[in-house]
Amino acid sequence: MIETYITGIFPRNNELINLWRKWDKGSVNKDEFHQGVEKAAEEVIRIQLDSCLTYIHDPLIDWHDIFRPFTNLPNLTPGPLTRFFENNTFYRKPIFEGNIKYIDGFILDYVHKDLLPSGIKPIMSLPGPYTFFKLSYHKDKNTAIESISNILLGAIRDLIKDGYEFINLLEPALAYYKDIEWDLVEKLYSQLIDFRDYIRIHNYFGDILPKIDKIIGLPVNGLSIDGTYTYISKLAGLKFNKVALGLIDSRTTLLEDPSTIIDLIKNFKEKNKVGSIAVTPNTDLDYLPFEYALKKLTILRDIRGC
Amino acid sequence: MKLPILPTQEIGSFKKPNYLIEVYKQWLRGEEVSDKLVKAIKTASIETIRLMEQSGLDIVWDGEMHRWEMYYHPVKYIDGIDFVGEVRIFDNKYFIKGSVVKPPKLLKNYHLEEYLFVKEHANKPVKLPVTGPYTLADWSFNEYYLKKWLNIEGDPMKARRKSKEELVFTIAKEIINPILKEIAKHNVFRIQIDEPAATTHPDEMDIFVEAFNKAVDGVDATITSHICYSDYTLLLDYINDLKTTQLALEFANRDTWNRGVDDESRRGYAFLKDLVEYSYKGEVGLGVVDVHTDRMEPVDLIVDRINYALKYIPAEKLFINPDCGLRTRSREIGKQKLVNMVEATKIVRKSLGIDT
Repeated sequence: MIETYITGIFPRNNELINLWRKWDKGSVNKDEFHQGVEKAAEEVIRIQLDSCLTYIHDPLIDWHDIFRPFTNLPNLTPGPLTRFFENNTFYRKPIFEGNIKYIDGFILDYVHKDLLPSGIKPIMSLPGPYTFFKLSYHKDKNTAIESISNILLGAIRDLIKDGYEFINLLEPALAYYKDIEWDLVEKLYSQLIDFRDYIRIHNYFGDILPKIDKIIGLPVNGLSIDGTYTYISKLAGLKFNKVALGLIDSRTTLLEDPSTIIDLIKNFKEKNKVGSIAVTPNTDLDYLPFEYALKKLTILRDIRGC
Repeated sequence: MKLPILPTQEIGSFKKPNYLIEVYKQWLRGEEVSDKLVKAIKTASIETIRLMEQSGLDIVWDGEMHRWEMYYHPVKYIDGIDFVGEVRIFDNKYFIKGSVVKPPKLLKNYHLEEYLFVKEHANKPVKLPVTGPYTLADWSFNEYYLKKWLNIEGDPMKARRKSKEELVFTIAKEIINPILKEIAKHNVFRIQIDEPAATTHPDEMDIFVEAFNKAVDGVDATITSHICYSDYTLLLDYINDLKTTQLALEFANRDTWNRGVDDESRRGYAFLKDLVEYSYKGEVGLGVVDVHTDRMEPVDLIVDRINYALKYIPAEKLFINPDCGLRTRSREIGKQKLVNMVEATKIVRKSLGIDT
């Protein structure tokens, strides 16, 4: 059985974009705004359910970028707008101003688990520790490592306790950069080792073929491969516990043929030893207009065959 | 036209007046408001030219009042790129993105009328900003060429590169070059090629440079360029190959607000040292105010930023500008940022013994 799920931030629909514009101008009140966000979040959950996804991802439609909620923690501030890798998309660079302590329950204010029907397997994405480190500004390396570990440990603990099935750690930096500070990566992941069974690494925006052995060796439960960068057909003789192939391209309106993807997956399984396999978008669907994100979910539904 | 030392300029866009935004919105909804829109554009254009002049800028534009925005405007006049919906840039800021569904073809020179209008109404030298071929391609979904190359290449990275190359070069040769050549016949002071996407794909720098040079090939005008919010060091290996007179760059956004001309206080300007190291001899347009915050840069901070730059770039090669277009600020704040920038420049000129 091929598993399916989405990752990262889902695009806002036009209604929510417009509501947010009004909110920014101060022309809607807090209740109206929150009701609108909840309504949009419910819609994204329903869309995922209708698409028969194996896991239901938190919509994250109220996240401006993958770091932003954390900049509400003391001593972590949103810095300059900075390009997010090779995209025409920008995030506020987190600025570490000292040692950051996680506040128990903090992350739960930024998810929508209460909107999920019972019996659903929710999942969540968080910035991976290496990407968090590379994309933030900090004066002291050790303090930053400790702070990132505090934040992620706390958030993962809260989410798992709240019933999330697994956490997808978004690690574009690991895939994107050619020179990786592996000692640092290992140190960062060793801090999360107590939750290794609940962590998957989502690699994207880069070809991980040259570093696949290192990534497989990290203490996590699964990993994903961005099929729009890594030539999936070239991967052979590898052993994966849980692997997700990012074969749905979130950065093009070109629509994939489900049967071609199913063939690629079959071929991948024949060449490698695989525990469980999933197909996902290569990255956040937020890079597409809302209507095209829906079309991509239709492809996932067709692959799953429901 | 003779410019003073340390000429001041804006980059391109400026906040539109509300009356113009309202008509644009009606137009975008497909309502028949063509006459109303033309009238509002002309009024706003003249108002903004005057605002730029009153701010004391040496080189002016009309803040792109003739364009909804820098991507939408050109794409509207290109057959083969269809608008498909809104995609986020940051926070709740979105742009209407297009998808390339067939080879792009120019329908109309979309800059000629606006350039002639601004030139007629401006009392200062005019710089025409033009969205460059690489950015137009990069900000579009590349459906047509990607499909073609995925069928030829199994390797997704090779397919993406080939498809990008074909799209960028087509836009450079078939869209931008003819536009520039025609405008150059009208005695244009400067044309600024806007390429905010230029230094965003490390493996495509050669494509960007080749496309830029194809776009300006045979154009009889002074060509400058604007790049922002990315890793400029990617450009270094190509810095002297790019056929541009000037690199106008965003710096203030990545700088501190501390006073001083030391490296740490001015860490946002570190790239200037790289330019020296790579023997760049062209002009530098120095971004001295952040366009993404209402916080107002004090004059003395801007003075420090200019003085720091002068340690690396000769005064006769240095231009002073905001980081980028000021369209995300209110007109009042945008104007004040320009006024502070001009004031700081005058102080620096005076310190250099130049009478302003």
